[in-house]
This record gives sequence, C-alpha cells and structure tokens, in this order.
Amino acid sequence: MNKYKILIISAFVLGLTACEQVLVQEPQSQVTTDIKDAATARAVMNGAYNGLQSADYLGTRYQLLPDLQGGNLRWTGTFGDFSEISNRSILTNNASVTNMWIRIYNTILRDNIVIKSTPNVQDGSFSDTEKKQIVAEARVMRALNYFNLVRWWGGVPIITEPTVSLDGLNISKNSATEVYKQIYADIDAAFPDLLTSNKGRVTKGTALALKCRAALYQKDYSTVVSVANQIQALNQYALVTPFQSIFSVQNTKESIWELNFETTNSNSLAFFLFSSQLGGRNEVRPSPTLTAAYALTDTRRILTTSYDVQLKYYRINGTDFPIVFRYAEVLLNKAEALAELGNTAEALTLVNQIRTRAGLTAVATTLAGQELKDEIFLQRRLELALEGHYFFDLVRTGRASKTLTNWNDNQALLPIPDREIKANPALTGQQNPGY
Amino acid sequence: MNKRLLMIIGLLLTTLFQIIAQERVIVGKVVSSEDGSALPGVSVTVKGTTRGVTTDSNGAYKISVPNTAKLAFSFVGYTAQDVTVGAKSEINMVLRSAATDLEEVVIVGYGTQAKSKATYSVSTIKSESIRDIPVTGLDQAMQGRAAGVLVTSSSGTPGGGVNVRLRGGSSITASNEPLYVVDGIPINTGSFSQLGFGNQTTNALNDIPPSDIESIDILKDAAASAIYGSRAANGVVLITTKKGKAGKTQINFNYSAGSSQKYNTTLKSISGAEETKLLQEMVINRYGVTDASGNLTTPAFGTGTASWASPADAAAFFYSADANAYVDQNTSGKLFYVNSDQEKARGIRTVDVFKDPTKANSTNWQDQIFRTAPIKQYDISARGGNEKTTFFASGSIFDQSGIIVGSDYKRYTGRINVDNQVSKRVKIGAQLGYTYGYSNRINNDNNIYGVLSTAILMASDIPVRFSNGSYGKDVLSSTENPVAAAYEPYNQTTFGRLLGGLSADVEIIKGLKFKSSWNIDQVTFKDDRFLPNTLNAASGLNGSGTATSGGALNLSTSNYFTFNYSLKNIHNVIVTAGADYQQSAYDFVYGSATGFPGNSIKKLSAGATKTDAGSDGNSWGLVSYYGRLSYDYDGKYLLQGVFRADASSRFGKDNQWGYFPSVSAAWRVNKEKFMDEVAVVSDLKIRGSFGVTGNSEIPNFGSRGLLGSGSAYQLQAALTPSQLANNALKWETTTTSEVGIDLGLLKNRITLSAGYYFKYTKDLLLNVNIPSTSGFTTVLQNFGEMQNKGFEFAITTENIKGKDFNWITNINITANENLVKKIFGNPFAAGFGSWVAQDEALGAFRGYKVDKIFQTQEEIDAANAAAKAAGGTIYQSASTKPGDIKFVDINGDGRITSDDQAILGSAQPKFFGSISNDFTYKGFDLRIFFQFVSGNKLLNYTRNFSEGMNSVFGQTEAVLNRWTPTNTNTTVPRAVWGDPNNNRRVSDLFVEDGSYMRLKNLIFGYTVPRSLTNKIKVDKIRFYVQAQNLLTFTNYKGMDPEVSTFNTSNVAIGSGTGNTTANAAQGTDFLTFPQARTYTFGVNIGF
Repeated sequence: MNKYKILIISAFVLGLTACEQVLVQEPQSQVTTDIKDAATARAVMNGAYNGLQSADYLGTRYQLLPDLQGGNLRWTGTFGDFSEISNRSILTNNASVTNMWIRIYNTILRDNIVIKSTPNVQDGSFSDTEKKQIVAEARVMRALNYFNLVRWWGGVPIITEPTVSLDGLNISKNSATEVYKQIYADIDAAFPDLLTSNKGRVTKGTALALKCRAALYQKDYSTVVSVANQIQALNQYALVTPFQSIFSVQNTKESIWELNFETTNSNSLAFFLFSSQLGGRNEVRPSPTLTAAYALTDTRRILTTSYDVQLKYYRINGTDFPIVFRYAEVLLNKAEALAELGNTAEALTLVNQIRTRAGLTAVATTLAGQELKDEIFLQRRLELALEGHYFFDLVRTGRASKTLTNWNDNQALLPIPDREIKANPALTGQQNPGY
Repeated sequence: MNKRLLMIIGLLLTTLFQIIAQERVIVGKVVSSEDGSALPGVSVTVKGTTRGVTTDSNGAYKISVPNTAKLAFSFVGYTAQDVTVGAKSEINMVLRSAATDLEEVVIVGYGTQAKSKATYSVSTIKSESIRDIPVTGLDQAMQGRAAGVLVTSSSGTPGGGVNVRLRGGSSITASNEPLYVVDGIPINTGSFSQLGFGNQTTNALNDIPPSDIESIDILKDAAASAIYGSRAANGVVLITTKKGKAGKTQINFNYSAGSSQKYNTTLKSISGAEETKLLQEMVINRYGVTDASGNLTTPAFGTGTASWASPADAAAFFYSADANAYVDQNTSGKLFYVNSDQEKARGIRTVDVFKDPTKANSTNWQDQIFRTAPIKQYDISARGGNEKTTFFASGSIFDQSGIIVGSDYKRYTGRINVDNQVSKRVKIGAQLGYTYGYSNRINNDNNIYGVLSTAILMASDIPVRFSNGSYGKDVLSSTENPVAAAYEPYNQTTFGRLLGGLSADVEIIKGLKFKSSWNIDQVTFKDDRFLPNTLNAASGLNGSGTATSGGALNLSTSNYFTFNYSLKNIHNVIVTAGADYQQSAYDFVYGSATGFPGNSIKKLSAGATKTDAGSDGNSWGLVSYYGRLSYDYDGKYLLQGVFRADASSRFGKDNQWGYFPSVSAAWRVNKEKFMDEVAVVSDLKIRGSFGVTGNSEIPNFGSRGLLGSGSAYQLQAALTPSQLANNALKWETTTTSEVGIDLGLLKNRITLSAGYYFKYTKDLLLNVNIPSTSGFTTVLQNFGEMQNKGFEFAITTENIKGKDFNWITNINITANENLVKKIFGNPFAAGFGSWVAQDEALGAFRGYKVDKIFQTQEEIDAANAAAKAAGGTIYQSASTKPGDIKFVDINGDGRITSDDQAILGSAQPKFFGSISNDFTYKGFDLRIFFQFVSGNKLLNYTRNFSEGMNSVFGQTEAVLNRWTPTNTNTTVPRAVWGDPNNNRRVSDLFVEDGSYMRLKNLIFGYTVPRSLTNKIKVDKIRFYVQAQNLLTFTNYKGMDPEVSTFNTSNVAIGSGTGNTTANAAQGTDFLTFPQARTYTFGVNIGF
C-alpha cells in the first residue's frame, strides 16, 4: 500500500471517530427541567400536589403541629423536636420546623416551575384552557404555601421564579404584608381559570376558601363575608351528617379540597396518632383539656377518645385523605367575621348550624358580644381540631396569652431554621425575635 | 586447514598492505551475546565510507581499512556497535540482542517506554511474581508487590471486594480506586450487585484471571498517569494479557488444589454456662445494690441478700417467689422470658439453669459455621505462531469455597489473543476474553441475618435447634440463628464478562506509526435471592424472593500516532498523539415477590404477591485527545511532556473540557564521563516531575437540572425537581510533584529506587448547603481539598548469583501521610467511629479515652463532687458504679460530654510494604513473601458487641476477665445490663493497633530435570506447595487485621458521590468475614 494512502486512511479513521456524540448522554429515570410536552407538564403539575403530601407538611405535620403548639395534642412519643414544639420552646435547629420550611419552599419551586413553563409548552394536544387551568392550580397552591409560611414564620423571602442556577439564591425577607399581597395576587389571577368541581384538586372553591381564611387572619372581615358568600353561591358544598362521615367517607359534599393518598403514596397521620399495639408510634395523643372541652353528647368527641374508636385519621396504612378546606370552616369563618362586624343574628344562625350538626342544641338567641365570639371560637376549636388551625386561631384572636401557659409573644412565630440563616447571608440579622 | 592457511596468508598480506598503502586488512568473527553462536549477514562497514562487507555463514568477515578507521557492526535485531581499529588486526565482536536491551520496558499507556528512559516511577509486576498464589483477582495479587500500592481485602469472602489505594486516597465522596486498563481498554470495575449483603460486595476485577496476565504496570505519579487525564487521580493500573510468541507452540497446564481454614482462634466465644453466669451478673449489677460488705440487696424484689460468687444464691433470690416467674428485659429488672410452656420446654434460661449454670446448653456457633474449604484451580494455555501470526489461547477454572458455610465462588474463563502481520507495514490483532461464573453469597458485617455476624452475636446458651426441631432463637434478640443464616437462604449471583478488542497497527513511513483499536467490555450480572419462611426475615411473608439482572456495556476506541525520530542517535524524540472515545451504559431490572408455596420453588413467578418491580439505567461518555512528547539527549538528559484533554458527559456545561498536563525530566548521571571512574555505580538516574490529573468519578448527571420520577398524585405519575443544575461542576483535580532517584550498583546486582511525592487534591466534590428557599437544600460543588505526601523505596538485590544457587531479595516500603485540608461546614462523623475533619487523616478515628476503671464508690463520689464544683451535676452518669470505666475529661470542664472526644488515630498506615526472598538451587525454588502494614489503627467494633456485657449478645473470652469486686486488676469493665455508664461508647478501648506482618506466601517448588522430562516428551514439570497467610504477626484482637467493613460503592452504577463512608470509615472491623489460611499443592506442566 502506498504510504500516503495509509496516512490518509489513518487520518480518516481518526476523523471519523471525532464525533462528540458520546458526550450526549441522557438520564433514564429523570428528565431535564425544560418541559416539552403536555404529559410532562401534567406530571410536573402532579409533582406540585405531591410536594404538599410530604409527612413534613400536609401529609402529617401540618395537621399535628398547630394542635401540639396550642395544646389540643400532647406529646407522648420519642421525637425531641415534637417535645420542643409542645413546650413552645423551639430551638432553631428543630427538625420538624426545619423540614417544614424546606418542604414548603421545595413545593413553591414545583409551583414556580409549573407557572413558568406550562404556558410555553408547544404541544398540539395541550389546549390553552388546560394550560391556564394548570397554571391557576399551581398559583393557588403557591398562595397556600405562602400562607402557611406567613402564618408560621411571619415575613419570609418571596420567590416566584423557578431556581435554575446557583446565582442569586441569597434573598432576604419580605414583610408579612408583602407575602399576603402575593397570596391575594395569586388567588385572584388564578380564580377565573379554575375548575368548579374536583375534590382532589384545586378548584374555584379552594381558591375562595383560601382567600376567606387569609382574610380572616388579616382581620379583613368584610372580605371574609363576601368571599364566603361567593363560596355559598357556587352551590357545591353543604354540611354532611353524621359528622364522622366527613372522614370515614372520602370526598363528601362538605369537603372543598382533600389531599388524596393511596397505599403506594401514603401519609403518616394515623401512624403518629395510633398506639404501638395498633401499629402506630403513639407520638401524640389528643390532650385531656381537648377531651374536657367536648360535651359528652358531642358527636365530634370521638376524635379525643382512646384508640379503639375512630379518630379523624384512622387508616393505619396511611390512606386517610386529610381535608385542607371544608365547608364547616367557611361557615365558621363567616360567623366569626359577622360577629366581629356586629351582625349577631346571622352569626348565631351559622354557629348553630355547626352545633346542631354535632348533636348539640342550638345556643340561645340572646348570645352576643364577647360571649358569642367565645362560642364561635370554641366551636371552631372543637370542629376543626387536628386540621391545622388551633394554634393560629389562638394567636390571631389574641387568646394565646390567656390560654397557653408560659406564653410570650415571640412564640407566635417559629424560628427561621438555623441551617437557612447559615446558608443564606441575606438573612443575617433577620431571625424572628426571641430566637 | 585450508582456511587457516588462507588466514595466515591474509594476515601476511595485510601487513604488506599496511606498509605499502597505509591500509590493512582486519579479520574477525561476530557472535551473539545470547549463546555465543556465529552471526551470519552482519554488516561491517568502515565508518564514514561506503566500504563494507557482511559476515559469512560462520560469522567471519574480512575487510581492508585505513589506519585511523572505525568499524561499525550492525545487524537486525541486535544493537549496533562501533570499534576503533587502532593497531588491532583481529576484531572479534559480540553483538548484543536488541531484545536484551529492551527487556526493561514499561507499559506507559498508549505505548511502551524503555525503563532506562522513563522520567517517572512505574512499578511493574511480572506474571512470574504472582504465579502459584491462590487469589481470585489481580488486585489481591498486587498486594505488597509494588511500592506505593496499598491493597486491603475488605473481607475474606470468596470473590469479595478489595480496596486499592495508590499513594493514599484523594477523594472524600468519589471513588478512590485506580483506573484499570486491560490491553488498552479502560474497564468496568466495582460491584454490580443490586442486593445488600451487610457490607459484602462483589468485585468485577475478578473477571480477569491472574493466569492470563503477562504484566501489571502501575502508574502512580502524574507524569505518567496524566495521559489518562480526568480518570488518573487515583493512579492507573495497566494490565497486559499474555500474547503469542513465534515458534513452537508451547502448552502449559497448571493445576492446584488445596484448602482454606480460619487461621486464628481469637474472638473465642464463652460457654453457655459462662454466658448464663454473665447474664445473671448483668441483671444483678443493674438492678441489685451491693451493701458495704459486698452483699446484694435488691429493692425491686423486696428484701434479701445474695452473694456475688454464687449464681445459685442469686437465682434463688430472684426466683424465690415463684419458680415459674417470667422475667423480661423491661425496667422491672426481670430478664428472661420463660413463662410460656413452650419456652420452658425449650429449656433455655429457666430458673433451673440459672440456679445451676452448668445445666445450660452450650453451642460453639463459630464451629457451626466455619469449615475447611476446598480451593481448586486449573488453567491451560497454548502459545505459539510463526513470523506472520502469533496466538495465545487459554482457559481456566477457579473454584473456591469460603471458610464460612454458604459462601463460594466459581469462575470459568477463556481467552484468545491473536496477532497477524498482514504486510510489512500492517499488523492486526484481536483479543477476546470471556468470563462466566457464579457465586453463592452470605450476609455479613452489620447485619442481623449475617452468618459470622450472628455466630458472634448469638449467645452460646441458645441451641442450634430446639427439641421440636426448629432453629434455636433468642426471644430477647432479633438475631437470626447462625446455622439458619448459613444454610437456609439462597443467594446466587451469576456474572459474565466479554472483554475484547480489535486493533490495527500501521507503519505509515519509517518511524511513524498509527494504531487504532476498537473495544468492548460487557459485564452481565444477575442476583437471585430466595429467603424461605424458616428465616426470621421471611417467616411472616411466607418466603421472599428477589431477582435482579443488570449489566454494563462499555464501548471504546483509541486511535493514535507514534512518531520516532532520532537525529544522529543523539537527539531522540518520540511523539504520541491521539484521540479516544468511550461510552458506558449501565442498566438493570429487578422484581420481588412474597407468599411462596413452600420453600422448594425459588423463582418469583411462584410468589403470590409481586411486591416490587423496576428498571433503570444510566450512562456516560468521554471524548479525549492526548499527546506525549519524549525527548532525550544521548540517553543522558531526558525530558517528557504529557497532555490530555477530556470532555465528559458528566461535567457541567461550563466545564465540559478538562486539561491535564504533566512535565518530567531525568538525568542519567551514570552516562556522564566522570562516572566512568565510579565503577561500582552501574546506573544512576535522578528524576523529577509535576503533573495534573483528575477524578471524574462524579455522578453521571450531577451537573444537570433534573426532574425525578417515581412519585405520583391521584395515581398519576408526577415529576419533581430532584437536582439543581451546577453548570460549573467538574472533576476533582490532583496535582502531584515528585522527585526520585534510581540507582544500580555492582552491574545492577543491587538496584534501588526511591522517591518523594507530594499530591494535593482540590475541588473535591462535597454537598454544599444552599438557601432552601431555592427549593433545594444542597448542591454538589467542587469544594474540598486533600493532601498526600510520602516516600517510596524499593530495592532488589541479587545476594548470591551462582551456577546452581541464586538468592534474590526484593524489599519495598512506602510511607504516606494523608490529610484532609478543607471540608464544607463542621467536621462530620462517618461509619461507627470515623471522623472527617480538617488537618486530620481521612480515616481518622474519634472517640473517648479510657482513664481507668472506677474501683470504689468513693472515687465516683469524688469525681461527681468535682463535677459539681465545676458547675456540672455529675461526672459521667448517675448510674456509674465501681467497675465502670472512667473516661478522660479531655476539655477539663469536670464532666464527660460529647466534647470529650479526641482523635484516636488513623486507619491509614504510617508505612507499608513487603519483603520477598527468592531462592533457587538447581531444580528447587523457594519464595518467602512477607507483607506488612504498620502504624495504622483499626476500630474493632465487633468487640463493642462481643465484649459489651450489656445484653443477650454472645460474648467472647475477653469478658472472663471482667471487673468484679474480686477481680479488680483488669481493663475490662463490669457486666451490667443495659450498660448505663455507656462503657461501650467508641473509645480507645476498641481502637487498636492494626499493624501486622504476614507471611503472605510461602512457595516451595521443584522442577524435574529436563533430561528426565524429555524422555516423556515434556518440556517442563514443576511441583510446588504453597501456603498463604501462614503466619500473621499482629497485636490486633479481632479475627483478622486485614479487613474493612465499608466498601467503595459501585462506580459503574454511577452512584458517584456515595463513597464517603467507604473512604472515611476505612479500617473498621465489624463482624467481617476474615481472611483464610490456604494451603495448596500444584503442578505446572509445559509441553
């Protein structure tokens, strides 16, 4: 062979292989963050719901911690961080607090990805209506996430864009007012595009129920009433009887939004509440004071009795559907707002609806003023125990200092996790007071 | 006669010519240095002229030359030589075979290099030095054979994992194993098993039988290894398989067989009677109170007294109220659950037994599970060919049973290597190796289902089987019955590997060559597990089965030019330049089921409930360009530069390309004129180098922004953000500087090589905390730093070189110091007692220090009083009693807190090496090979349980020397249920000196004289006996000092950064399968 020919062939062989195709490798059980089709966009949306389901969040601790802080639950288990929470002497490295913070922001990231990328997905089978609906659901979930942040921590950093790089991650706190503004903005923008009925997902009812609750926390009573009226006008919801069926039957007419769980995707609520004989870890139990608050005839009392009777969460395989919003709360919100606005008669009607459904007699029509407010508060406690309300209700109505032992006002807010202060220089000096 | 006459005439004529024409005739004969045979056809020329002749068939020549001439002798395959004629008239020349000169060639990656011209240190292990030893893989064979190479078998499991560290580890989270390259193919290594077996792993390197290996060349320093760029930070091991040789086909057959045993008797368990007494004592010490006179009162059981010495008294005391009283381990102070008829029928820990411990059952669990295990090895090879085609073909069987019941490893291999000279310029080659095998595996280490684990953890008063035939179990412990753990589970691993390549070598023009090779490395791996319902792990599930199947396909091509140029034999240049492409994909499927119809069907199809299924995979690709320029001036001044550019699919977008340069230089001092007078020095080279290498064993997609699968909402699949993009993510970078000296004395009868290196690694991958408001908590970033420095020293001496008797000694010693220089955040713990902190070695142990044993209550009271005075409450624990350990108050605050822990040493040896002596006398050969490590600590975590004296775990004889009021002069604390003083905490009590010296191999062979074997047409017959691990000198109290319960995780699976525990918690022994002592007898037959 001619030596030049050989040279040419050798160079060709070298050149042939010089394609850098081997550098293009793709993960097989993961996808890159650029979303290209409808199925991926829907899966990312499901991921946003899935984020809420963590045991650090709506999958357990969202329901347990406020009642542990407020004394509806007592700590009977082994978790030191639960002990701190029940004593309200919470350290900045408390695991439940740290994980909840991390989980909420992780879920916000999921919402932000949906909100940012869904509109840009070019896929013929993906209608604009569906895209808008998906974005709207994510916006309401983001509003819920910020609402949970603001009621637990006060002002927090507001992040509305998906994180794509390591740049610009150090963001300082926004004020609580700004956070509420963001919550309302998301709800209002989302509302028109939402479905009307689907108990497992965010609907128009969910958006309104969240707005109603947020307005109550803001003491914006006229908004509470008007939003509650809007919910009633949807004609989707009603109180159901018996009380227990709200929890034993899933997706009743009373529920506005229930998080769905299955055996393959379960929560730990019953596991935390049940005794070890029943396969639980007996971490928390309803407290004697909560038990004592119920009349013996109150059908809601079942949730405080011993473990051989159904609790609100009793499916030990973790398939209870925790209710995020239900109609009874809307009625109680409205009753409280009306009482605050001086509309005693209508407030009484609403609280009596709650009482009679629970097997109690209606209260006297003469009940008014502080007594009426106290009655509404009591019914709220008894009705919504273990659903993630009690501590916040104590705090926002100014009852915490009277009701809770060893109270100081700094306990109203959780500490920003220590790891967060250390990892984010922009939060230096922004720790909540008292920590 | 005629010739001689002619010569005389010639000589006369020559003289005549000299007188007349200032010219004369030179005659002579040219012979080969090898055997003195005449060399015909040698070209003999007068330098600087065209005048020349060639030697005749007898090697003789005759040439007429001018007075001042120089004669040049040259011949193909021999080293050319010049001679000044001077006054000589007859010049006989001995030409040295070029092959003899090139004998000392080292493989350096993309070519070879004369060792004399190497500017860096390369350790070469030849096949002869690893023959006859009963090892599974080449990594084990490397142990002790080369300076700077620390090899530690992580257990004695047949086919198990081995840790290899070249000059210390360089990474915290990524792999610290070197890159293995077989015949130019970077191969898959690590464990492919998908199932957990305690910490037992498999080892894909075992797929290459040591008998196929011609040489192992280890590139340790960056000057040499930089040619492998981003994968070379942990060094490179180049394996060359045996190739064909022209000539008569040689057939070699080797057979060896023997057996292995446990080599020592440490960790001897106590008898059932002693166990019973001990259990009793634990309870008394926990719940009883001794009064001033040493009698015992127990408020928990009312009033009464019992003496320390008498178990009968204590039992009578405990059970006086009700002989059937059950006793459990709860806070009531009762211990042994014997209330049910069933329990009583078993006769374990009944009141009768406690009253008279000699009635207790006594099982020697270790005897139940250790065995004498056979080992067999066969290999046969054929090697031959002609000038055009050469081949090597081999087949082997390796069959080893483990010394623990249930473990074995069987491997079948075949290989064929063929080379063909297509034309003068073109050569092609093909290599193909295939391996198939299977291994039965057992759980061990940190595992309550392990075989050795349970044999140590199960107390000796439990019988192998209860009277009803079921396996004996301890109701107070979840530990599996050791015999059940050994015999009942079915854990079979089946593995295969195809490793091969095609290559072509083309000489384009003289000196310029091109080589192209195309390679495949395919690993297949299958795990089958079935746990019958007789096991704790599956009793509630009616049997449990799991099957996995996976594999890796690694395709690569390598293409490079080599250009050799020599200007007047003074300026010598070799240039290598090329490009490589490699792609590796890994995938697997798995499934599991429960609810089997009995225990006879083991396949998942039989399981009523399919509990899990999945499949996954991943891949990486690498594009590389590289070059090497070697220059030497007259073989005296050597200079080399290496450069590699790697682009990896693993690296971040902003750092896709990594560049790895190195430079090195050497001065061969002995080539200088002034050295001619120093006759004793036959070789002297001073060398230095500097280079950069990388560790790209980072997660395959660690740099990408990713959405992960596997979650759902409302039974609809969800995708969730799993990883934040870090486009800057890159390899870990190591810079290495080295200076060294190679010295040969007395015609190289003594050769010595010494070097000092300094290795600094930066950009170590660590998970760095970021604000979680981003939605992520950590991001893998290049953050940490680490340092290794040390000396390497190797010496070979031919002590006696005679006709019949030869004695050669090889010694190598390495001292390495490793320090972690930078980590993210606070120091952190790993494993059981290891600690990663700045300016400490990776592998440091941290724990408490034992001060003494408290002898009296007064001592405890005094310590507590001092603690109070210092502002605390108690010194150690409210439950501290005489016989408990007093730990050292390191920070001096008057009490023991977690801050009173200190670094207790490091698992990294201060130095290690080997001493090998080879003797031959006529047909006899003897090799004595010692291997040692020194200055390292081991955490004997097994003792934390086996000497814990806190629960029902089996105890070893060390506890017989426990503290009691009558045995106070001891370092073993008292026995006390629950160990309230926490005597078991990680302390210097369990951190032991791990130094050892081992007679690793003793081989004695005899070769039958050829005169005898030739009669039966056999070239060679050699018999030998071999002993492995015959002697071990160590103070270590565990079963074997060469263990490490934590292993490097699977790099093939792409776990990338999952190696922190393996890297940081090395030297931890926890219920680990010990090395065996193996005797073999073998025969080599050559035809």
